[in-house]
Amino acid sequence: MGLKENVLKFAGPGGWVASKFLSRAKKPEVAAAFGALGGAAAATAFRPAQAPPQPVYAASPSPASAKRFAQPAVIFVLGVFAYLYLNLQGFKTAAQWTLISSIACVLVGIIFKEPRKALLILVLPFMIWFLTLMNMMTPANATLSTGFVLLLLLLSFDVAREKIAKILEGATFVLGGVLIFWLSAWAQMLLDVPYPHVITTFFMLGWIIYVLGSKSKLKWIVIFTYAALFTIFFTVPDIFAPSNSSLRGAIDSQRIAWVNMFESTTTWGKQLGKGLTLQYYMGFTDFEEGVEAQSKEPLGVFLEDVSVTSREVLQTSMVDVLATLRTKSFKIEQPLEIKLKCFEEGFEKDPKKQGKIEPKTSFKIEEYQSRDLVCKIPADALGVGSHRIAVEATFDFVTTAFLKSYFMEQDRVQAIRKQIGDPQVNVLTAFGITETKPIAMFTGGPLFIGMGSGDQPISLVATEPEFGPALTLTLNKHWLDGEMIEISRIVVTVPPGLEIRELASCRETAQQEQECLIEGEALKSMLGPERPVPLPKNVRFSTSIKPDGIETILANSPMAIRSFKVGVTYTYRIKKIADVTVRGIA
Amino acid sequence: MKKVVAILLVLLVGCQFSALPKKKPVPVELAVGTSALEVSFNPASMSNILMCQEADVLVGTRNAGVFDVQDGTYALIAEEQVLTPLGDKQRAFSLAGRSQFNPPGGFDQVVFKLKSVGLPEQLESYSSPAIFQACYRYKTFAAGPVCIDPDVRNLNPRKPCRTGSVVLAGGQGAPVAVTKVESVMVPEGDRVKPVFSISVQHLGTGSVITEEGVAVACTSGREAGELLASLAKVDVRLQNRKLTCSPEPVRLEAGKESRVVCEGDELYNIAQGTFSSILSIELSYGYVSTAVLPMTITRLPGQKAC
Repeated sequence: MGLKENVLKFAGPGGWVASKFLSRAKKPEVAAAFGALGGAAAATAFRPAQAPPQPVYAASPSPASAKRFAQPAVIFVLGVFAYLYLNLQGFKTAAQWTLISSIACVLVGIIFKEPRKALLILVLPFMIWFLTLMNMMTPANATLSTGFVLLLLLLSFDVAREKIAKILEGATFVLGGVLIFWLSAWAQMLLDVPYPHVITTFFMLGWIIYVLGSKSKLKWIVIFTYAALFTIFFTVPDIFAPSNSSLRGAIDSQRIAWVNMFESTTTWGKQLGKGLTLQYYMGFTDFEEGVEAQSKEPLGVFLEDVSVTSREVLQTSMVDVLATLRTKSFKIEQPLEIKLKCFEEGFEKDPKKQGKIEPKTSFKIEEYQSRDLVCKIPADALGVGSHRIAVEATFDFVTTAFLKSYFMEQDRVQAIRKQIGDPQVNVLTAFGITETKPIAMFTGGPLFIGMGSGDQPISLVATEPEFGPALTLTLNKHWLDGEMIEISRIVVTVPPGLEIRELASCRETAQQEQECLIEGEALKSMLGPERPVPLPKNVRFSTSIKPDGIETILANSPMAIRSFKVGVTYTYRIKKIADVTVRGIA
Repeated sequence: MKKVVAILLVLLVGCQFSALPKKKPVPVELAVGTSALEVSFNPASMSNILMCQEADVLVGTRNAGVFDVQDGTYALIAEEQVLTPLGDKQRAFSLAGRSQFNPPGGFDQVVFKLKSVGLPEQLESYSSPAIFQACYRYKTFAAGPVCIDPDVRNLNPRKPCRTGSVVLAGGQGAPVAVTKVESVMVPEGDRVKPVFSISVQHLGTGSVITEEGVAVACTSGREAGELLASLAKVDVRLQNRKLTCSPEPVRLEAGKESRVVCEGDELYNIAQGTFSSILSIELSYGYVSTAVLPMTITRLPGQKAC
């Protein structure tokens, strides 16, 4: 495959411009019109194919010595003039590279006795100028440009042409992919809307599919190089894209868009997973249902507005992550104790990657308050590159739940069932009750509490007092984010007339309910020792009817409405992430 | 002139004492309908209350049937962990049925007091029903002409009546209604025995229980099972003689007609001729009427406990 065909593989406007440039450069008269050194070099390098091949290192038909040195001398003089001119104009980098290229061109021309081919080296200052123009003058890019020029130079020698052509074929594939990404992401960054970044993603995927579908033997190498290059782009973008370059803007905007896309997808995934898990548990286990009680304000503690003062910081400075801790309704009398922590995501245990929370890491807070926080991490400790800084808030919280239940004597249940005649119709309908399957109601917050007390109404059998209703609790995460660090206490309250014999620490309330406290080892044996607590968890309590319990429950009514209550005290942790990039010092 | 005045006076006096057009009395159809006690919560009842507040719950009851209720019981059921009744939850009552002297039927209004005793922690509001029940004895009276026809071979073509079925539509002013009476003459030798098939159905909105069940239906009385069965006692009389019915008591199934077959000991021969007589049916049962009031208790912001 010829160089021209390779060049044509540049996708997008870059490829088009390159191919046009080269196809024009094949014509000597057009090349001459360039008038510049680069144009002359290109015209020389891409002269028509019918030109007789020249063996490398073989002695050319010996031209006159003066003629052989004249061209390098002219180049040298022009180079010096260009250097001086550019220096005077303030283009110091371009001036230096022009002088270096001119000297290299002269030396190669003299040493290898191929002064015309050596002219190719003069393309280098133009490439450096382009990089400077695009604010992309980094050592890596300068090295790549120099390498590219050297490849072009080598390509002009027949003995290396085939191999170099292969390298250039691969390079054009990779460069085409980069150009597609660059132009698309940059353009979409300028539009400043989130969705078009999806288009860049599709362009890139399309490019990968195109490469994989091609017949090139280099396709796997190209894909590997492409992946490696983008890994570098997104982890240490400074190597190829300094912070004020358009490529860097494109990389950053695309990265943020991908992170957002990933987080959205993760949230959807979590919601879908939660829904499916609930369905599974409800279908195949003792999972009990529950609905969140209506509340004017959400209950809990929230980390909001997590951001960095600057998305890019120098290695010598400090990374400042700002956050606002806001408390909504608690509906409990005590203030909440909040503990804060920040660190680089994935390095929670590494003391070097821990930040310092200001003004303090632990404090008490009341309902409807907010605290502004700053997490400070030395950028040096993070190292050059992109980092994800996590801000965590750990707090103790209480969620309560209750389940309405209906109690009747078994004889009465059977009699009313016979009265109704239809086994599908619940006995409670005889009392005008339509909610024949009461669902537990839990107060808002991070914890879901489901409760079940069996089929309604609960039949009471006086002759078998040990058969009270069984109360099943389901504890699950209610918030998608965060984790249940510990469940420290469960308080179960059963209606008057019932008792939980298996629990020791119980007391009778003013309303004759039995209130049982489960904590410590008893709770650990119930829920398991794992921390954070894996959820969902089901807990079952068997109740018994006290002596004269039926009279107490029914309270001289044919049917009694009573509630089971549960209060769970737990420690929950929420986490928010902020992205930051640490730049090295040039 | 004096004559004219005298004539005018005579005319005026005549107008004053002339007979006014008589209004025909509207016949009041009392023994119709399928209701007994109609119970409903008065809209003035406090169904939305604040935590720790007392609430008056007003229930209106009207005896829309024709039987007078004696020694009935009212009962209120509430979730006592949240709404505690102040005063008696059960009360005795009597209420006259519709009659020509009281066509709409007796009306009563009962007031129960409930007190909110607090809500579970963190809860802003809570809903729980208040259920009102009235348990009482009730009776259905039905009477209709039946044909006693010993001439089963139809020797007499000019009979005053013929046996068959009589449909009683619209109820008899009670929730359990006699819907149909069929009479059949069963030959026994040269005489016949009248047999009546009586269809009864529960058409009311409450629940039928036994008469004895009334004592336990509105309380937590033990072993109430059989007492709460939907059974009605049947008393059928022909020419003031009680007939033997089967099944007795009759079980009433929801949405279905139940049939009672009654026969007397009296046999009739053809010499007695064909004649009409009145068959009187009395069904005795207990009845439970129910009404539900959804109540909502709301916690004031910052309110902790009562």
